[in-house]
Amino acid sequence: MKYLIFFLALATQSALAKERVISAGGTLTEIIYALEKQNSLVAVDQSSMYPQQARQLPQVGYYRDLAAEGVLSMRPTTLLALEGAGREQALKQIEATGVKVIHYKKPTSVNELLELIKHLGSDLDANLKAQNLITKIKASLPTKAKTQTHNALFLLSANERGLVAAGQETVPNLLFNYAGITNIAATHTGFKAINSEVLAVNQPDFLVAPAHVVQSLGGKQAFCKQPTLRLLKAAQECQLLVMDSLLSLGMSPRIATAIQALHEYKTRL
Amino acid sequence: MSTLTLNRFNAITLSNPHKWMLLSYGCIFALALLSIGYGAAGWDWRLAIAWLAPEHFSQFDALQINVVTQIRLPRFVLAVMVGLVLAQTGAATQALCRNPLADPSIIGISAGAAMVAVAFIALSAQFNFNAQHYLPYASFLGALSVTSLVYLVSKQQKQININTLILVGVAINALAFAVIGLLSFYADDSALRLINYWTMGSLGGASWDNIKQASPLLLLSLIGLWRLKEPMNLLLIGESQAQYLGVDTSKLKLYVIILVALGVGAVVALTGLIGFVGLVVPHIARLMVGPHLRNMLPLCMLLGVIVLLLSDWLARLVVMPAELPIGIITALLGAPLFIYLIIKNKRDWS
Amino acid sequence: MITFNNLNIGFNTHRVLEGISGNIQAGQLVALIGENGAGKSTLLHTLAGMHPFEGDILFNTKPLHSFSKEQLASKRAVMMQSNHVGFDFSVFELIAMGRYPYTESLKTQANKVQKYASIMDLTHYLTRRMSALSGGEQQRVHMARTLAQLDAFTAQTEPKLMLLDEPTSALDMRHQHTLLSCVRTFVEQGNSAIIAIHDLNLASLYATNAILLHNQKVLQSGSINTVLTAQNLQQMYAMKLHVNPHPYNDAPMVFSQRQEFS
Repeated sequence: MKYLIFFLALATQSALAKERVISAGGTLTEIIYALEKQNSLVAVDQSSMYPQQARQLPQVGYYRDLAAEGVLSMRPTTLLALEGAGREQALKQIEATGVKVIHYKKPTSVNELLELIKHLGSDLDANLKAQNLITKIKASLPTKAKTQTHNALFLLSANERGLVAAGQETVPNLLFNYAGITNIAATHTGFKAINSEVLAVNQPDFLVAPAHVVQSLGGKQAFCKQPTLRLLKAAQECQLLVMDSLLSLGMSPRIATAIQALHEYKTRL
Repeated sequence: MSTLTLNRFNAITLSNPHKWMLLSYGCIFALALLSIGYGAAGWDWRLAIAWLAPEHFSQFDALQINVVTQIRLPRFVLAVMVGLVLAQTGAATQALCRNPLADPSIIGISAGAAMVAVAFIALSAQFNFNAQHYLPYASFLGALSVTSLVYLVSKQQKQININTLILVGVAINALAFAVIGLLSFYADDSALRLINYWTMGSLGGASWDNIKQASPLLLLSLIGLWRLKEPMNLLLIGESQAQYLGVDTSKLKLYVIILVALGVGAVVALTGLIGFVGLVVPHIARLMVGPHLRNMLPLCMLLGVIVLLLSDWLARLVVMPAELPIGIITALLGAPLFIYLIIKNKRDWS
Repeated sequence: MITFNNLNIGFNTHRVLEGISGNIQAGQLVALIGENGAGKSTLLHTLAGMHPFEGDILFNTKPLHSFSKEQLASKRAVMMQSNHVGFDFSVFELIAMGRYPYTESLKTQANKVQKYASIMDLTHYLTRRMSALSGGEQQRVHMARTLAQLDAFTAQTEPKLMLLDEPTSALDMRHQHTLLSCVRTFVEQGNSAIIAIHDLNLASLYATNAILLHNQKVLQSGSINTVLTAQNLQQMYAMKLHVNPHPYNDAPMVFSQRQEFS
């Protein structure tokens, strides 16, 4: 009998000592939802845009510049911080009040993404779910293409001020690699401006752009008709793949979907 | 001295400095209660005193008291010091340049500090070291080196020519922002964000450690410029007259420049760029009690504190629990006010 | 009270005055006369101790450069041609600035300011801002400030010097006389004043002495009567001039005549 009472007490204790988690980093938030641990989430940062439910939660600022008092006002037990979260001072203050701050490296490859999921799974006590998610992702990933069959260009912006393309060490570049597509802009690193004349000589087979950029320019046709893209055959024929912004710019558990979209598009060309 | 003046700006200006000073102290007291009591982690004016004797205020838990002593109180102290320094250096720069439209950014100090700091951030990304920790020192060095450069270039035969000073400041501003633009181009995403947030100003980094580190510089600037207020005041009636009245204007100008650079450099290092305070606050003080620094300077400094406390409080409340950069609030408050002041007093600046 | 010997004074790169000598005693109001660009302002600033020179200047028998800026401030004051201040001080504040060289309590300072304001008939203006005053009134304020700087009209141990650069150019006739009669009274108390002035007749009414500057040299110096002669003035201005005595005051009056434009 007393063991029953003991276990009941223990159960109630753990229910009372509920975890209150704040997530600072869009990638982390997405994985938390994928692991179905969103119930412990009390607040997120501004970059946590996926899934839609995450946007309903209170926001404590952009993950690189968190408001210390804002975070603490949510009375978290844990703060999950993606690499680059700050400011350093604020994190120190938060940790000083007893909040557990866990730092995670930003994933730059699929393997690192799976590592991240594994760590989160263990930190959130969701090892099984994490394992399942990893398996799911691995299974859904197409085999890395052995040969590069097409050229493409990922444009972050295309307007009167010029073109900004994704170079090496970006998520679009990673997606291209997986889908067997050569990145025309691989000559530079990060998101940088690229000379449209250079592109005229080295033409991409098709263009890729994030949805929010295409929308702000008034749709696919309007995007393709931009004067700065005039010299590109791909623009003239409007060979443009519009991708979900978060999916194409951040490492996400839905990465397979992104690669798939690219794969399908190039096959249908 | 109590005076009732029929003034061209307003029908009647109660240019009684004591009255304005008392009013300002009252405002500061009220803002202290408000800003320490009300915030994301607690909404009660009693928090402003509860931290002194937490045992008697059982309605607040340890976390809230902690937030007050570790976050809100340092922020309050920082806002006070920054408000005092920005207002005073603004008034000093206006005396130095004999121009009511001058402020430290005009002679290039803020831009210089920003330029070195941004270069530092970009370098830190390249060579992989932690920028945030050493940033304050980089920014301060930037302020000081630009000031030395500006001083050397503006010197003509042992005298500092004010017009040259302003022109060099304009050039430095242009150079600094060009360099910042160039560096932003080569910076990666994280560095860019840091640059962005840093140029918008924030008191979010306030901590007792920071304040202890920066206090000597801030106090040096505050006390130094305060003690020079009588001779600085004479600069306002013209450099020759100041000289005839016995002021060593070369030395005075040198001291003022150094002290302004110290103060502004330290502030920029702690909080990033906060604009308009040095420009608008002295102007408002002047409208209240006249340009004589004996009356104007103390009031100006108190008004600076009020502006900072109010702006920081609003920055914390408007998008709670997130925060806006304080530079945005001071610009939103300051710019329209400034334009209004210019229009109302167009005849002043002939 | 101030003696200068063989002064060579330059301005920027060229020589303005050469071999200038003179002696101004206590009780003398000296008019400094010359054409535009003759070097009147430069000489004034040099005698005030603010311009480099070759030669000697003795101020109350001591070399000028032996005085520090602070010491000079209470012994000599300069009132310049344009006194426009870009900041709107009150009359009280402006006069008080003249007291900067003196260490005194705020109460003493206030008393002094009120004294000089009353001498210049500005008592009812003390709380007003300068922008609310007319040109003549503003000039009176600057004169009050200058008097305050020199601690004028109090028992003095040594003569003080007032240097004025075209103080009456922008004033109407009545205010011109008010200002110069004030300087005259100051001088009669045992002090000296040097005034650079274009208006010869005004100078003649109030000055005791004059110095004529012409061709980088002193053309003539001495009492007003000996200096303001038709011969001297015609040599200086290269035009026909007549000098007649004033009908009521003992002062030579200068008359020019109509010219043909050529």
